[in-house]
Parts: sequence; structure tokens; C-alpha cells
Amino acid sequence: MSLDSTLTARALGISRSRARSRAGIRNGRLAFLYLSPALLVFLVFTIGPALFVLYISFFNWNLLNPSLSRFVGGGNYAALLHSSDFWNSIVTSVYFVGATVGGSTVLGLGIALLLSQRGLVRRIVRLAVLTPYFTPLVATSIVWVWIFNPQFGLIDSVLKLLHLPEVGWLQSTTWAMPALIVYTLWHDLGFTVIIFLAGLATVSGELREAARVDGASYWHEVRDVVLPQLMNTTLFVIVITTIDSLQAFTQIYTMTGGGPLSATTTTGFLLYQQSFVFYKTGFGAAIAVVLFVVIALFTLAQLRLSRRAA
Amino acid sequence: MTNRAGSALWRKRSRRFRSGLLALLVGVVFAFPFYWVVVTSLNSSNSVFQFPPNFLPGGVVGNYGHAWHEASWVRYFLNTVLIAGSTVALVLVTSLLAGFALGVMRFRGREIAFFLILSILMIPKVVLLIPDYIVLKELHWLDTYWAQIIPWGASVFGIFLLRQFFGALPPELIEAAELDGASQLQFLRTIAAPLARPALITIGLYIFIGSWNSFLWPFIMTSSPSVQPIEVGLSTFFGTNGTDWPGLSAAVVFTTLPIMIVFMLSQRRLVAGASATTGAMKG
Amino acid sequence: MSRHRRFIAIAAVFAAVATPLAASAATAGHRANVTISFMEAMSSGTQKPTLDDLTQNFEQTHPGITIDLIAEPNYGILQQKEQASIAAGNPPTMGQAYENWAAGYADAKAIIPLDNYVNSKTVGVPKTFKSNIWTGVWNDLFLPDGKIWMWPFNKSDYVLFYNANMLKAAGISVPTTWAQYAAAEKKLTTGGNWGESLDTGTLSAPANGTLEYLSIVKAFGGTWIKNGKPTLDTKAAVQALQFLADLKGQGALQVGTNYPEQTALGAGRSAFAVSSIAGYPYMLAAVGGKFSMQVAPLPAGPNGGEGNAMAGTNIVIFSQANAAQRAAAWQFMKYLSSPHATAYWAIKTGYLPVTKSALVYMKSYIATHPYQKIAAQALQYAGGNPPYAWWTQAEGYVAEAMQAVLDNGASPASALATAQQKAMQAASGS
Repeated sequence: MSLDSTLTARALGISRSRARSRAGIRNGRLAFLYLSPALLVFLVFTIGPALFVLYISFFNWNLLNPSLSRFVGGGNYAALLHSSDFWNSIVTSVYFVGATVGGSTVLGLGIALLLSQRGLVRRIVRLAVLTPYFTPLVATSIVWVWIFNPQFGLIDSVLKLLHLPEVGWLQSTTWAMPALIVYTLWHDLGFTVIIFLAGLATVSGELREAARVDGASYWHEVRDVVLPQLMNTTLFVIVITTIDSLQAFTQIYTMTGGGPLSATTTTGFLLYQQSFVFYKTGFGAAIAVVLFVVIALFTLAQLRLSRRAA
Repeated sequence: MTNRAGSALWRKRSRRFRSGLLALLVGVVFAFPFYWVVVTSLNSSNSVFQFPPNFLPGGVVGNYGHAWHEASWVRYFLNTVLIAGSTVALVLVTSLLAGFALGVMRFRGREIAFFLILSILMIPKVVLLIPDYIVLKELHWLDTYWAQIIPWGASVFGIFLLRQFFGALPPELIEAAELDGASQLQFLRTIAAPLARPALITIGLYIFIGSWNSFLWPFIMTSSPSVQPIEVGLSTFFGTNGTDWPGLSAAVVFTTLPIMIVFMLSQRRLVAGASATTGAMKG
Repeated sequence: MSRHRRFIAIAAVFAAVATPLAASAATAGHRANVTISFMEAMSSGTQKPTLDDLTQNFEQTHPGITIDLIAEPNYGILQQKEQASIAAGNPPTMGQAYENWAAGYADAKAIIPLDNYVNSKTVGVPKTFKSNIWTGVWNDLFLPDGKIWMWPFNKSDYVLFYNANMLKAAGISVPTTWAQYAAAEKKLTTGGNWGESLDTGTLSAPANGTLEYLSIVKAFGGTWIKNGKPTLDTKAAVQALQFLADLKGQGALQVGTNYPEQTALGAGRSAFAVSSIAGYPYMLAAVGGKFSMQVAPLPAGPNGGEGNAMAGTNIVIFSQANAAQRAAAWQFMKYLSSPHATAYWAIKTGYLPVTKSALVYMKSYIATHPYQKIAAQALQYAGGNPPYAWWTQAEGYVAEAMQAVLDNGASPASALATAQQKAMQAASGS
């Protein structure tokens, strides 16, 4: 990163003064004042409502008329732990999140490597890769329903040309999830590619050149020189795609509705279904709480691991 | 010798050619669905349902006129830009302040505060819809721009990124500013924030697209077209009894086009911005 | 030419609407100004301008009443928004609602019964109304407690669309029983074509295919519910699902999503499509004049059993509204079901008139759109959603059973037994 050179120079010429630093810019006296605008927004629109959700998870809650709600203690949680729908949804979520995160990391890096050189073709291709990211999810996921159509869709037309059997993508418990993942990757890869392109720009060209002079093959060059320098970028991509895919909703809603059967019902979608379609507000709240705890534990573990690795 | 050099050059050329070809293929795969949207938007409704599919655009420009008249697009578009733009501005301010506190300041409970903020990410957003509706009603913000801006005005992602960025600032820089007698706010405004510009661009893009793509929220929290975003307009094409493919396609084209143009003009800056950001991703 | 004629027909109806209502307004006298809001999902196609027209006409003829239309893009979002607004204590005055939504609202005391308005000597409906309204539509206004909680608005039901050219070429006459239908589909499944496409729907969103199946269940002599409990695994239900599974096995039936029946019929690949009559304009656009598309009533069951599913919603009044708003809302609901208004609505949108007397005002329209009468007459026996909050879930389990059988090859009996078991659990749950 480029810093203001004069400032840096001046800074280097000056003896360090820890005491001063504590009294000066690093002083945390006003820290909460600085945090307060963000905290206020979170408190009012996220934390407060989330505590409310926690509260109603102990009730058979009547959303439309709270006075008719009934306290059930841990009843919703007990029901949840015995619900095969819930456990299935956890497996489905792991599938979806694992595939989209893995896919966008690997493909994102691969495509970024392809596009990192200069040239008109690559500039145009970059635009092509990023465009889906700008298209509204609702509208383009419907377009992809069309692409996956077994009789008229694009993909099956190609299969037919190759004399392969038609696949009812969104009607198959096996293929609906891959189809959903393909759409999600199509829509979101652009962002990942941009991030990786950016990361590649900071990779030292000299090191790569040196590896090449040493006669390293392209793959060795990528593995031994490029990848180690991209660790931070990769971590960043993993974090952000995990967040996004855990919250994924719109494409599931428009493309499969969680089906066929429950093949694409992620825990996030199950939550929507129970709370908003079936009116099971208390049960839905319990799912939300458990989901929160699971993700929190998972994230803690991830942080521990990455800290140990670093 | 010359022979070997020549063959090396040849190998390099052919590799470049092959990777170029591959890049082109990737481009085609990504662009094709969008190309198909354009084709559909220029064909009549019944030619959409053909087999083998029709890969060539027709000349039915009328779909655009029809789609254009279906909704007050200019209004929706301006609303979207206003909402997404204000959200971005607000997020940048709140993230700069919070990121500065968490990345630069030393205070008790810093780690806990950071983890608490991170944990907000893990709350499933879907369940907050109705509680948030109640909150907005109490604030008398239903059916206003506020309902679409303020609740999204702080971003864990933004705070996280800027905390990382500020945490990686060289101590010398901070000390120099202290010697100059800069206050915290002055330091943030004149030194830290300008340095963080690339990170801000990345956050801006991410938040802008998130706001642009929001679907359920505007429908639930607002009712009047005068404050609603572009999704409301798009939804008129997939009604409860069928989908108007050419109309929808035309609308997708002219709502995506402006943002594509903006991107084309700012592509280089965006990549540069992202590059500086990820450079700051140190644990 | 035909467009010209249609315009005249519409103009005539509009003139007819305006005159008597202007007269009735004069007698209504002057009241204090009142504003009511109507949350609805009539936001696409011709629905929006038509509802705007009717609202304006009502406001002109009922001075003092102002109506705010709150348009939502689809029923899913409409339902969520109604829920949210009830939960927050600021519901609209009135809203569109399916029978099972209304059941949930009534349980929470969020809506009011309408009997006092309906039977009122001063503001009620005329005595002839009950004999005028389609029986299916009338039965649909009640909740299990025997009170009237809803008033009809945008009603439709299911019909059989077919490609007349294809049938003629194959020498097949329009099937009037499901057995004939299956034979016809089988015969037409040649050369890369097939009989029909349908969307089974999903657990959270049933689709046209779900209702096609439920219609067949009724035609086969089955029921959806009995004594307030689901009956999803009756003998007729198993037969009906087996019927579809056999068609699927023969390649005569294809499963898809997002209105596959329109796509397949429109492309000239399938000869039949079972769909709500409200899908007519979309169906017509998909066909695009490539062949002659015709409409027939749904076929009958083995013993002449008639089965059809009523689609579309009713209107409810939310209990937060004050007396003046309630009264005004009732006036508006009554107006929308009046012969002229419901005829105008039907002509413009393709929904069905809720009363028989409206057909009088639609003569010239029906002459050019005979299918409207076919569909309207089926409202006599069509069944709406059973008025229980748990029906949402039960219908979802039906869709799930269809997926298990048609997508995954499960046996109808076992799939429906599962659906029944889950539905019973839902029904006894709360």
C-alpha cells in the first residue's frame, strides 16, 4: 500500500513515545462515541429485534394477536431437535454453503488468473463476468428457471445436440441443488473475481519472473509463488461468500421454492417457510436462535484455526 | 540457440493464445444468459417458446416501449439511486468511525465489542422482518425513504474491513500525526480516511449492490410508488398467472444498462480499490 | 374488427355501471368524509388499471369515501404484509385474503364477521342475491363457525385449454371424462410431442398442478377435508395420483416450474394445459396465433363426478377499522360484487363474474369469449381452499406428495399416507 511519503519519512525520524501515543490518537476514552452511530443502528434494527425473537422462541407465539400466545418453555427447541426437517436443512445448508464458497474461491481465483493480463479481450471478458452481479436477483433467477427448463431450456438443448438424455434440473432432487449453485455462482462470481484480480495486482511480479526463469511450470508458479501471497485475499473471499450464501434466500424462493421435496430447503429457507408460510412464529424463532448459535460456534472455530495458521 | 529461443517464444505465444481462448470461453459462458435476455427482449412473446431455441434477436423493439410504459421507471430508478446512494454514504460514515475505534483506539472491551459486532452477521435476517416492521411503525417511518436507508446504515462487513485496514496502519504514521497535534477526528478525516479510499470503494460497491438487490424489504416496508425502488417495477412482469418474458427481459436490459456503463467507466479504479483493501487483510 | 367490437362492449358496460350507481349515490345521502385502505395484489397486467377504474367510479358515486389502494406484487408478499401490519397494530381497512388466511385472521380476532352487513335491511344485499351468486362462491364466504367473514372479489377456476389443430389432426374429440383425456394424451404423445406439462408446486408454494390434481380427486369422488380434518389419502386421492403417475410413466405428462403448461401448449408441443382461467391472456400470448387455442370445462370423473378448484381471493375487513370505515368498506365490497362492476372486472381482466346476473351485461363479450361462460358455470361446484389455517400446510404436503411420486417415483399410496399424517399433525397442532 502506498503511504504519504513525506509523512512516513517524518515519522521515521522521530523517536517513539509510547506514553504520548496512549494519550493521543490511540486514546480509547471516546471509543464508544465513535462506535455509537453503528451501534445505534444495530441496536434498534438488529440486536433489539433479535432479542425479541429469542423471547418469542419460548412461546407458541400468535403473531397476529400476541395476547393469545402461550408460554411453552423449551418446547419449540425440543420439537426442533426432534424434527428431521431441521436436520435435513442443516445438511442442505452445508451442501449449499460449501459448494458456493468452494466454487467461488476456486473459480474466482482461476478466472482472475486468466484475466489478470492486459488486453482488450480480457477487458471485455471482465465486464461479461461482472455484469451478472449487477442484475437484479429476482429477475435473473427467473431467467435461469427458463434456462434449466427440460424441454425448451438452453442447457438441455445442448445436451440434446450431444445426444445426451434430458435432465429435469429443477424437478430433480439430485440436480436442483447443483442448478441453484450454478446460478448463484453465475450471479456472484464477478465480485470474487474483482477481489482476486485486485489481490493478484499486489503479487510481486519479480518473484513470479524468478520462478519462471528457474524453469518452474505455470502450475508450480501459481502454487508456490502466487497462492502464498494471496492468503489474505482468499480468507477475505471465504468470509464474505460464507456470509452471503448463509443468507441466500431470493434465488431459492424464485427457482425451487425449497423443493423438489426438501432438496433445496436450507435452514434459512426453512425458517422463512415455518415463520411466514405456516405461521409457526415461535418455532421459526427457535430455528433462528439455533442457527445463530451454530454459525457463531462455527465462526469461532474458523477464527481460532486461522489465527493458529497465522 | 536461436532455435531454442524461438521455440520458447513459440511456447509462450501458444500459451498466451490458449489462455486467451479460455478467457473468451469464460466470457461467453457468463455473457450468454444475458445475451439471451437481450434476444428475448427483441422477440415476440410466442417465439420465446420455440424449439430449437431462437438465438438471434428479432426486431420487436415494441417490447421496450411496452415495458417502459408499464411502470414509472424514471421515478423507480431515481428512488433506487437515492436509496442505494444514501445507504452507501451512511455506511461509509458509520464504518469509518467504528472501524477507527476498533482498529486504532485502545480501550477495554475492544475485543468483546468487535466480536459482538461480528456476531450480528450470524443473525438470520429473515426473522427480523416483522420485528423491524413494528420498530419502523413506532418510528413513523413506514412508507418513507428512511425505512429503506437507516436500518441498513451500518454494516458489519464495512466495520470489519476498515478495522483490518486501520489496524495495519504503520504506528509511525500515527505518532507523526500526534506530534503534529492532530486530534483523533482530524487524523481520521485528513489521513486515515483518504488512505482508506480503496477500501471505501469496495465497501461502497458491496453495499450499493446489496441495496440495489433488496427484494422483500422494500415491498414490506413501503407502499407508495413514490418511494419504492426498481424491483417493484420489475415485479409487474411476473404476475400471479404467468410471466411476460419479453417485457421482463426488456426491463432487465434497461435497468442493468446504466449500472453497467458506470462500471465500464470505473473498472480500473474499482480493481485498484479492491487491491488495496485485500492487501490490508492481515489477521 | 373484433377489437373494435370488444371496445364497444366495454363502453356499454361502463355506461351501464355508471347510471344506476349515480342514482343510488343520490339516495345514500351525505356522510362525513372517511378514508379507507385496501391492500391487494392486483398489480400486473390489466388488473391494476381496471381496479383503478372501479375505485374511481365508486368514489364518484359515493361522495365522502376515499379509497387508498395498496398494491402488492403477489399473494406471498401480500400475505406477509397483512401479517406484519396486523402484528404492528396498523392493518389496512380491508384486504384480499384466501379462505385459509381468513381463518388465521379470525382466530386472532383480526377481522370481523360480515353477517350484520350482509343481512342488514338498509345496507345489506337484496334478497335475490343469494340465488344469483354461484353456489361455490357463496359457500366459500363462510368459516367453520357458520358466519360470513369474507366477500367475493377476484374469482377464477380451472379449465382445460387445448390445441384444436392438434386434436383435429389426430381425429380426437374434446375429452369430457378424465379417462378420455388420458387416452387422448397417450395418443398425442408421438414425434417429440406430449400430452400436458404441469407444475406440482412446492411445500411452501402450491401451483396450478397441485390444483389440477385436487380437482381430479374431487372428480374421482374424493374429498379434501371431512369434519374439519384433512382427508388426503382417500381411495379417490390415491387413484387420482396414480392417474397422473401413469401419464408421466407413458411420457404423456411432463413436470416443470414457472407455468410450464403455458410454455408447452404455446410451443405447440403439448395438446392440453390445465390452468386457471385467469391465465388466459398469458396463454394467448404464448400461442401467438400459431394455432387455434380453445377452452373446455375440466373433464368429469368416472361417475360423472365434477371436480374443480376455485382460485382467487375474497375480501375481509380488519377489526382495527372504526365503524365509519367498516361501513364504507362494506359499501365498496358490495359495489365490487354488484353485477355491473363484477362484469366490468371480468371483461377487463379475465377473472370471472361472481354472480349469474352479471352474465346479462356480458352477452356480447361472451359471444366472442365463450370460455368465460364455461369457466363461470363451473363456479357452481368449484371448491375453494378449505377455511382452516392449517390448510396452507396440508396443501403444501399435497404438493410434496406429487413431487415424491412424479419426480421421484414413490408410490401414490405411501406418499399420500405421509402427506395425510403430516397434515393431521398440522391440523391438531394449533
